[in-house]
Amino acid sequence: MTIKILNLVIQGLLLGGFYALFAAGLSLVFGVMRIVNLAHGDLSIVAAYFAVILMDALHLSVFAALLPVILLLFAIGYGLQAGLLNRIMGSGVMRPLLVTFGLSVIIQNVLLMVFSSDPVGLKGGAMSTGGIQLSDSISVGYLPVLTLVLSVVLLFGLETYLRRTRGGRAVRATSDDDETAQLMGINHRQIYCLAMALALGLVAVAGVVMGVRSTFAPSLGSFRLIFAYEAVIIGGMGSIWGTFLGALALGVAQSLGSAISPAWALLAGHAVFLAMLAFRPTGLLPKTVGV
Amino acid sequence: MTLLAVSGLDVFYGDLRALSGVELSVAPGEVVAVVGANGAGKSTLLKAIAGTRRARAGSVHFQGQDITGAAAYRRVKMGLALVPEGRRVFPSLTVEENLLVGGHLAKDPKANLSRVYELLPLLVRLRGRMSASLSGGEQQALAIGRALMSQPKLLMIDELSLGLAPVVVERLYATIEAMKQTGDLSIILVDQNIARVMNIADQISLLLEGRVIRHGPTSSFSKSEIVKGYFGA
Repeated sequence: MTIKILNLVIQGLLLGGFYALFAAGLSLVFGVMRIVNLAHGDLSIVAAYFAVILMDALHLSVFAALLPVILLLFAIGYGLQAGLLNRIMGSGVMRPLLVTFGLSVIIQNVLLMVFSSDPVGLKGGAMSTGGIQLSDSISVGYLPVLTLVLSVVLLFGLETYLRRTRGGRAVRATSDDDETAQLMGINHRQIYCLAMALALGLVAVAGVVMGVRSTFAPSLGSFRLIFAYEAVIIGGMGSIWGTFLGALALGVAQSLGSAISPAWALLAGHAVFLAMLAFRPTGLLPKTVGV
Repeated sequence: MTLLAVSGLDVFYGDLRALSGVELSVAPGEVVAVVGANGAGKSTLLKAIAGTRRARAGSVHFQGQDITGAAAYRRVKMGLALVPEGRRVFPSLTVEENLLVGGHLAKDPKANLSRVYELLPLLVRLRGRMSASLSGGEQQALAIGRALMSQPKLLMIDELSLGLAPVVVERLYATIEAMKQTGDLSIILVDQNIARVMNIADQISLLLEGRVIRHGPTSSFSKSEIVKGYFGA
């Protein structure tokens, strides 16, 4: 029994590492701009389809395809913010929600037109199927372990950037007070572009990992958004490690729930999310320093 | 040669006229005090010069260059700095990080940092503290230090002593006096402390309901005239 629960917790933590990849970008964008990007999940699907194209056309492995996909999404994030979202910044909460919701609908339908609704996957080779046997009843897959390690490394990198560099400090100052940041010589609009670019770079990794874990289709983005959003709320809005903890909590809740019945997997996650909203709306780690 | 020349400046908040036809000029090394009642438009004037408020008419020239339409962040590069009303330190950043953000465009922020620590030594022992935890006076010192990090030619300070203890105010004025002595920094000062303002300012601009009603050397103003100015009479 104890072993069984231990196994569920371990699998849940690994699942949480996967969710953290989705949630980190959402949290960053919220922390810097106070907007929720409703197209965040769909953009992870876009990243996965980019990987499909690159792997098919250039016969790249999934590892080789990852970097170009990250760069593509980074550029899309910068362009999206510069060309569209910067126009509606500072005009209240409704407009960014409506615009990104519209964007989400457009992305889903364009993907349907181009790729159809047939599920596809990314070939990950031995990495996606193999695993390590920890004991008789506990084994962990290479891919989930790699995913968790990747998310810790990326979040650590992001935090180091925000804390230690001139650009990172400018991001945090803009997050605190964008008008005063301008008085320091900071172009806040450029900072918004940078934040969105970083967020989509992270979601690119999430999308590619997702494609290796399981098959995906154009309509899957909304599910990804819900989990990411729940992780952000559980962890505390605008805190990177809070979001990471929130993602782990969500993963463990879903894993434990799935032991009761498959239907309970999602339900348990939603229950933790709602309980947090009811009893501790500031999240596990409310915004402490910077983003 | 004037450093800053504001001419015919109109600024609106919606339909409300905050400034109308304001003229102001500042020479290099000069300290100009802007005096007026609450709502006379002092903060609006500083914001319009710094670029966070747009002018509807008129112009702002800095070092002979028309900067009326320039974004606030570009004006910093030219040598303008504003210590905003209410200090507005970045609460989630440490004291030293606040200063480094102030030196965002500086080529060598570390060198500026040591100059600022020299001018405002109380910041040295606070350098690792979160700025939100500082007292009002410490925050004001930090806000001034942060503005100096960009090595401005013109420093604007909005409500220097508002809400601060007299002993703190005294120290801040001593710092301003020291900056004035260097001779290469011009200052526009907005403050309610009449005696100190009259002591430090070379020129005074009296603002009433968005208009400059009198501008001249400090010696040409009587104290009662300034007092009346603060009450908007």
